[in-house]
Amino acid sequence: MKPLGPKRGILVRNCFAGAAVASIAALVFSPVLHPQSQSTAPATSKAASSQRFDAHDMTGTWRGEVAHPGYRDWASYDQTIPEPPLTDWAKQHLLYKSISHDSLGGTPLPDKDRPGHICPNNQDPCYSADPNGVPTNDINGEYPAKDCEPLSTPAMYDYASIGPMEILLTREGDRMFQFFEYHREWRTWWLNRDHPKDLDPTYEGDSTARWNGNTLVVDTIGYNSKTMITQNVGHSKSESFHLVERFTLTDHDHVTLDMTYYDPQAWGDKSWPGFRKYFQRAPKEDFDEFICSPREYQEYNKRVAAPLDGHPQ
Amino acid sequence: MQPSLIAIMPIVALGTAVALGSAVLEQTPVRPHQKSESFNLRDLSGVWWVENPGPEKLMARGRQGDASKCQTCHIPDHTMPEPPLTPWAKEHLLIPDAMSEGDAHGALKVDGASMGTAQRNECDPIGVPAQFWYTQLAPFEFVTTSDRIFQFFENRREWRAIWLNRDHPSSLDPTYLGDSVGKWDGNTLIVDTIGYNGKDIIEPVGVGHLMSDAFHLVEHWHRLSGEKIELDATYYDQKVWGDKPWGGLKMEFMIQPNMQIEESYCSPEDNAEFEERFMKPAAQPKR
Repeated sequence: MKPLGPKRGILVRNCFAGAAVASIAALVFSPVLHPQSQSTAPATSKAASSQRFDAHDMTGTWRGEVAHPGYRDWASYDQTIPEPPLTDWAKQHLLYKSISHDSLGGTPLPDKDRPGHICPNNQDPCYSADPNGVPTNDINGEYPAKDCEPLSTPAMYDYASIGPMEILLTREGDRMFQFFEYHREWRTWWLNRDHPKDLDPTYEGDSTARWNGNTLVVDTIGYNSKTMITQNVGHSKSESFHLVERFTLTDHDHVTLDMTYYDPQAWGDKSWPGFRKYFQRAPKEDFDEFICSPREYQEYNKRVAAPLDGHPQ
Repeated sequence: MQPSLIAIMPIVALGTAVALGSAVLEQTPVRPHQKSESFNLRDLSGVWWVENPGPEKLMARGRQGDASKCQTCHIPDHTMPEPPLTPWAKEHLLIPDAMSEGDAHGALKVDGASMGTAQRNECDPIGVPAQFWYTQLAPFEFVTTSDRIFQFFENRREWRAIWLNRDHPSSLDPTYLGDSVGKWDGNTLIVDTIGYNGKDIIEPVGVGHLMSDAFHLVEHWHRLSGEKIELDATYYDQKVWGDKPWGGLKMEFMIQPNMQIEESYCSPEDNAEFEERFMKPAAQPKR
């Protein structure tokens, strides 16, 4: 087996933070889950299911659809719409010092092998800084759940193909739950109420859901500003971040998610639409325990990631 | 105030209250519970909390947690003493930082500081049964679906699924939360959990060793009335206690009809900020 170079080291470390060391070690060598391998995997496009379905029944276990034609389903690399310009306030308060992954635009890196920068793979652009000047591809930069912090949405969808999510409707019909295998985070979507007037900012925010035709529209506000929007954006949310998710069941086995981001403190009255994810139904048994344990994560970094990427932790 | 004791408090907000003393606790708004008018003996759904929540009981346990009093430090919730540890357990499961003073096993220090430094400062998972002790600080919710009962703990936002219509899989990957199956026996829900990875604490105060991967938890949940449910739990761990079970964990919880589980993540970043802003100043000697 070809030894893993530094490019793989950081990606693996970031993507599988917190899993048991043994499990992660196995995943490191799994071609299925690695983005470099995703792009070269044979396109086994899923045929549309002919099974009858209730368009309003979103319940089930869903995994990011890696093999959707023309689609990568990794982080936010499928986004083609540029980010709206940042407000002066956001530039002053929200920018990270650097991020560890690639950005969605910005200053191209002239030499992909330039020391200190880790470009994800040869099929993606590689930037040295994002459009706001935040250094990217920095091995010590920020990434979601860097120290086992909560990821929250929408960053959680960066990893939709790593672990499945499950959507459940309560017996009373007042709530839906969304469970993510990755880091075992969960959210509540309230079906019969609006957002409370006074919200304490939280990692997951407050989510309400309404049916608009056959699309379930989930509206989330009340986030705190401690989480990333995606691994590919060099600033955090502000407390005015507003996520609108539109889930549509396209057949019995497939769900499409369209997302639009709003953040008046960061983008004024401009929104950032165009984030799309494809999911396919997965067996319920696929949902495993994937807890981010700081203790194990540190152990993993020490034993596996640091030797791989060549950087002391 | 004993700063060391605060180390057992995993919730920053509650920890803040403790750090600032009882005056703050008295100002903390109490989330009221109301009487529910009707109930189904086989429906555990709802938000549940101990009748008198607050950190005092855990603090009292911590204060009693020295060698001579360990046999009583489980009272009133755990009514039976722990069986003797096997030599293997003494060799493999004692929490290193907890070994500076003796307890009933002659090796363990059982105050909150030991557990805090050994296990809990880094936001590691808690799991059950240890989560039951933290219900003294934060409520939990049961949500029933057709095939599972979910238990959401406000503390650290942990959750588990209790599978109703299946047995344990024949081969289990060890996990922090194990595999839980539930069966109704009359009006008692019996929850059986195995498949632990052996990395969890058993109780946050008073037990200075981890469980092994043979830990086996049996819970009996019984609805006593519209407002109250009872938990009676027994621990088994062949590697730790041989064939002796450790029973007698009894707790009661009150329904909280107007309460919702709040978000209470354990975040290393938040903990570090809390340490800087509250713990360090609190640890300074008063002038």
